Amino acid sequence: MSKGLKRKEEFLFFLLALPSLGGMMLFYIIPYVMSIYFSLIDNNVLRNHVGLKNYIEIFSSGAFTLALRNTIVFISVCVPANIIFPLIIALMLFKAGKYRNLFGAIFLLPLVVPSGSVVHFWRSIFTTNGIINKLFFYDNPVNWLETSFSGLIIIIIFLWKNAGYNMILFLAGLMFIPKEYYECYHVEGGGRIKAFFSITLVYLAPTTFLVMVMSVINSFKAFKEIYLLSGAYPHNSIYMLQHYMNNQFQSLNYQKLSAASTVVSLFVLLIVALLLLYNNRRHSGE
Amino acid sequence: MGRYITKTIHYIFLIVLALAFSFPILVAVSNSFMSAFEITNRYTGYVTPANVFNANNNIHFVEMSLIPNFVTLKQYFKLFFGSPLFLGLFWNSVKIALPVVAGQMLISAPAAYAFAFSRFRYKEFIFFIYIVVMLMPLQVSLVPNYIMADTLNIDESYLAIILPGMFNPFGVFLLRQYLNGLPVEYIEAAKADGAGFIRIIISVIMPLLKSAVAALVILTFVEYWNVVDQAVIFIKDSTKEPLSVYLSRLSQENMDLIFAASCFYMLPTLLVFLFGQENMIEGIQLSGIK
Repeated sequence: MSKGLKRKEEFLFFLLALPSLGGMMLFYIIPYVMSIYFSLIDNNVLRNHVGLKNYIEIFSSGAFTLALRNTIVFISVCVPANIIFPLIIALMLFKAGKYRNLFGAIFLLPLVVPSGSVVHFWRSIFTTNGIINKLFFYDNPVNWLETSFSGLIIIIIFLWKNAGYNMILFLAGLMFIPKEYYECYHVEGGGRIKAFFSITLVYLAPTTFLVMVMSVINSFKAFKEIYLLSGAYPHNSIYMLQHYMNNQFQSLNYQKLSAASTVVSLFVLLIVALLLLYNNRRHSGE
Repeated sequence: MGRYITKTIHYIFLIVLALAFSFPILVAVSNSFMSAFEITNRYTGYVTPANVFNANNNIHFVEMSLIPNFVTLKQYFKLFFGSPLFLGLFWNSVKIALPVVAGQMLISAPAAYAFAFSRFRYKEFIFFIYIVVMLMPLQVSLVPNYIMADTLNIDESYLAIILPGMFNPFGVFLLRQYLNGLPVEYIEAAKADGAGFIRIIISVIMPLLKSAVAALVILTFVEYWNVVDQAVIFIKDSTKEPLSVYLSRLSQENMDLIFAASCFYMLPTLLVFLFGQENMIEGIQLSGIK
């Protein structure tokens, strides 16, 4: 292709991407940069530069460090759980044959049902006069949402909602592995378990990358369920970074909020860097 | 024989799991046909004359059931005729969700195509930024978004929610991953046949994108039908709030229409899902291949 034609094509591509790029700049990039600026000043009126004072303040506040710790723990538990559990189900679905799509649709239902519709259900199970107490703790009922088990509850709700999506991703990845690989392996005398690790997991790697990305996104979104269930100040073990930021916003502590946001952004950058490292290592192995 | 047993066990497990997954929804649907009286007596912690036979000494446990004692449409009547507010709120939710979905389709699809096929040097770097933005929880940019909305004079309107929603990088991400997985031969063949730039887009890319777009539409619609955080911050007038916020505030005392409200609220997302479901599953699958 001549150089002129190539340049014209690239320019057309640029035009196609322009709305998205422009909107991203206006509504996401510029606000992030502004947020960093806000975290370095003392208040909106005087706008004196105070360096890292806001950061020191938030790290000395118990609320922020609690939220940070909870969020990190939550993500570290949820993401692996949301990879292993759907993978197991996907393996079973794969061997189930005919009704795959039907099951797939049913497992996707929790994702498409809005959170507000099922909040009351979950509350009715875990609250003081709820089903769990009725079945197991008849004499000493406890509001489980206000105990340190609340984290476990949120993880259950999170898995209920998000496992379906990852399940389908894994199912697709599984369907994509050519049968010949397994047959070759058996012919050469490999066992079934080893086949799983050497073939299945290896060829699922690209899918796993996407699953990890989606899981991280969705685990941040779990905030919505926690907020709907327990309000702005939930129990200590489920007080997340988003709660902290929301509350700072409501109490007009914009500086601390921005400092917290920047810390979260760095945290997310770290996660993305790790994910991409995983992706690149995978690519170099091909 | 052993294979058959394994398969049966798999099926049983899957069926049990499917029931567990759909149980909360089944409860919401079946309970929406109970009368307010029955709901209150089933779910309240207080011992009332109606539920005293199922109560412990001083506390009454929830009697959840999939079968109402009396099937009635009273909840729905109350929903539609007793609170005119409800339909207005429903329409508010529509006013937020539909523009975002439409905008996402129009904005993300061309951008995804550009990201997939352009050979611009810094393309991967820009896409990396898209991924970073996608992972950020939205509270990160609360203050600047609020200030931005104020500057653009849209802070009390739905635009403050709709505009960032339309430009959310998730759409570009999903569609681009999908396009990456498509065989290049389709486009090569079209080019060999002499198709121009626009021709390729219309005849080759758009039909192939159908499943991914279906997945994007469903996911985006559900997300913005469900919007709570942004709505709470940007919309102060309670007659303009979307249904999601209203439902989140329905407390224990208002149990008389909570299930019917939840079911009706669920309905659009279920319809959109049923409509695009096969396409969506295919779209999700193919976007995961590469």
